[in-house]
Formats: sequence, C-alpha cells, structure tokens
Amino acid sequence: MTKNTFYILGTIICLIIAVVSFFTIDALHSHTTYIRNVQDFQKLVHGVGLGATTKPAWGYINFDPRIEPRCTCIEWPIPGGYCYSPDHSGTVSFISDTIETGVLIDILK
Amino acid sequence: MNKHINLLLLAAENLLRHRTKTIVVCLCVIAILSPFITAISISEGIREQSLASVEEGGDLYLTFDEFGRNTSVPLKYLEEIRTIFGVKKAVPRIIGRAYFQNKLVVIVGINKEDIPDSVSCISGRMFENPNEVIIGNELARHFHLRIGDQFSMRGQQRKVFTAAGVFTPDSGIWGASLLFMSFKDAGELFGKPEVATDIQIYSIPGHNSEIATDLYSILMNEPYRLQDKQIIELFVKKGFLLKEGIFTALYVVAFALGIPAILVASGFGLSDRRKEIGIMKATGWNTLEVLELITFEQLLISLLGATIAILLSIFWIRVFNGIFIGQFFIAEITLLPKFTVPSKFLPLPFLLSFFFALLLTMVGSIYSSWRASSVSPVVAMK
Repeated sequence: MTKNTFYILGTIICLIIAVVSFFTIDALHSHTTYIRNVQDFQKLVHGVGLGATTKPAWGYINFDPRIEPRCTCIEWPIPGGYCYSPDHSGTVSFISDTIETGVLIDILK
Repeated sequence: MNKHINLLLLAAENLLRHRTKTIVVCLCVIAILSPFITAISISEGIREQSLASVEEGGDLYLTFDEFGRNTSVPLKYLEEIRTIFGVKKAVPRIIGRAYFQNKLVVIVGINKEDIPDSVSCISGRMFENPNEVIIGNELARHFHLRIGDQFSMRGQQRKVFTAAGVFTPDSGIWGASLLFMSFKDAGELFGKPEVATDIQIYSIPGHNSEIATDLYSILMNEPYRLQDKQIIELFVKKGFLLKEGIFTALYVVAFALGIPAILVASGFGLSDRRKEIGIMKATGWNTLEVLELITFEQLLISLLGATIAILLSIFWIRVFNGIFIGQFFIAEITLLPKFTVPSKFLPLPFLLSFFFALLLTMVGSIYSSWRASSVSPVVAMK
C-alpha cells in the first residue's frame, strides 16, 4: 500500500466514521433539550402548527389545517379559481383539504 | 481475496492519478445530493415537531361551521361540554392573526388555568397580569423587543402589551412569529370576548364516540365540525410523506439528468483511459478484472461524494442554521432564519444518496470501460 492509497482510503474511512458517529450520537441524544422545548411549547399552546410554514399568510391550511381545513384560495379572489398559494407547493409539507365532512347529495330521478 | 484487495488499493491510487476527474465527479455528486439530503432532513425535522403538535393537542377538536369554513364557538356551551362523561378537560382557545406594524403575527389566547405550571421554552416568565404576552423569538429580534418592553398593536381594538417572556429559538417554527396571551386579552384584541375559535377536548381513551354523541345532543341545531386526533395525525403523516415522495421523484429526475453530466465528467480523459485499459489487457488483465477495478473506483468516488454531501448538509443546517436554503423548504422565513431550523438526519436518505451516486457514476463509466476492454488491446492502445 502506497502513501497515496493510504491517504485516500484513510480519508474515506474517516468520513464514514464521522457520518456513522453523527447518526449514533444524534439518535442517542435526540436533542433532549430541543425536543423538550418543542414539546413544552406544544403543551403550552395545546397544539398549534402542523405544516412547514411559520405564519398563515395565505391561509391556515398549510399552517394548521385544524384551524381551517379548506384552502380559501378556492373562494377568493375568484371563486372556484386556481389555488396559487405557494404554501401548497413550495414547502416540504402539503396538507390537502380534509374530506371528513361534506354535504350529502341525494340524486333524485 | 488478495486479488480483490489489491484491485481496491489500485482503484484508490487511480483516484489520485486522475485527480481532476475525481474532483469534478465528486463535486457533481455533492451538488446533486446535498439539496436532497437537506430537504429530507428539514422535512423530517418539521414532521417531528408536527407530531408533537398533534400529540399535545386535544383528542377532539371542536369548531363551528359557517359557509363551509370554521367559525368561532360561543363560550356558553363550554360548561355543558365539560360535564360530558369522558371529557377530562375542555380548553377554549383563540387563534387568529393580526398585524404588528408590518409583520403578520399569529395570536394565541388561552386561559391561565389551562397552562402548565412550568415550561422550559420561555426565557422570562409566563404572563400573570392583564396585557402581558409571550413573544416569538423572530418577532423579538426583528423589533428589538426585550422582556419588560411595552408595545401596542391593533386587531379590532388597539391594546398596549408588555413582554413578559420570549419563546426560545428552539421551541418550534410556529412559535417564531407568535404572540401568546391570556384568553381575555386575545378576546379583547379581536373584539370577541364571548367566543373561542376552537375548543380542545381531552378525553378518557375510548370515549370519543360517546362524547361525540353527547355533543350532538348539546349542539343539535348548530352546524359544527368535530375532528379527532387520529384523522389529523393521518393527514399530517400523509402530507409529509407525499411531499417527501415528490422531492424524491424530482430528484430521481435530477439524478437522471445528472447522468449525462457525470458521463461527460467520467469520460473526461477517456482516450487516456482507453490506452490504459488497452495496456492492462495486453499485460494479462481480463475484462472482469478491468470492470472490477472501475467498479471499485466508482464505489470510492460515490462514498467520498455521499459522505461529504451529508457532512456538508449537516454543517449547513446545524451550524449555519440553514442559511439561504431554509427558505426553499419552509414558507414565510427570511434568508437568515431567526429560529432553529428543525432537522432530523436519518440513515435511510444517506443510504439512498450513496446508491444514487453509485448508480450515476457507474452508468457514466462502466459502459465505456466495457467497450474499451472488449476490443483488441492493439486497437485500444492506438
């Protein structure tokens, strides 16, 4: 094994060890204080926030669909219009309209 | 066994011999993998916070319905709801939004008796007197507010508040632009003192359907909406899985587009490689040994690229708090997020990234190497 080979393989092995160590330490610690603060905050406000947006600027649906489970873009500015809210497509979460309630329609023939 | 180890060592030496090609291919792999790993880690981090939000929320979530939208619940029903068998606790809340100067803020109002005795997510103290509030970290930094400062804001009414405390930066993304106050203060701010936007009902396990039945008899002529924790949890998990799936699908496309780039980069110096392979064949190497050598080279480059990509991603998120990149994945945040960007690094995205990188580099080089090793050594060396 030449010196160069040793350096290359050594670098790769060190990088792999660094990654594995990080995963192990992260899993073990699980950001104790961080998770506790997150849980405390949610306990305090009784659960606020679900989607990947800090403020309900366009609507509540991607902020917290419990507050408003419908995307209001369908109502205004143009009723039935296209939903152009960036919250729907531009973040790492997409919460669709909940369908647990609706109007029962009987079709009369 | 010795032969394979020797091939591995030779592959490592070849990486340094073709230094430029190794660096270019590595950089391509890192550029492709880093955003993918970062997006997945932020998604997992927010999902973890979301599940905490679902967990700490009520088992049943009651709002009224008006024109198909959620509307407020009159407080006159609250005492009756509390007496339903199976209800441990019913917490009315006001959740709204208002402008604080030019910044949209979320207002959350809860009665003091419904707040836990001690929390660790606040620096300062909980509000005790009227008009005291807890401010989100981003708001406090933006407006340079400290504990004890007074400020006024207008909802339906103008009110003057005193900052009793500030949420810590790691209390979650939804606390960043939030004003937390007493239920009474929130009601006065919005000019609606006798209603709540929702009532969180905490129930004894297994009693949800009985509570729902009793609620129906209490609210018989009122249009209302009752959501339970399981439905919400389902939609949250689905929402994140869907987006992670979309990101993964988009990145498969990006990886596929990366193949021509890596092909070019891997074929960089292809004529020299052909001669090298020709010489190897002429000196007794067989095709399988040549391909094994190439495979080891790509394996080492993929390992190098994938590990550097994940370490870069970790560094970017954990040390630099997702500067510049966070805004692509979380809405309504600034270039320099003023709260801790949530992230959770899991082994699976790293393994996926490594295999994608290996696939990319192999596709880019294995065919051309096989062609070079299949022809006569004389032709290859020309």
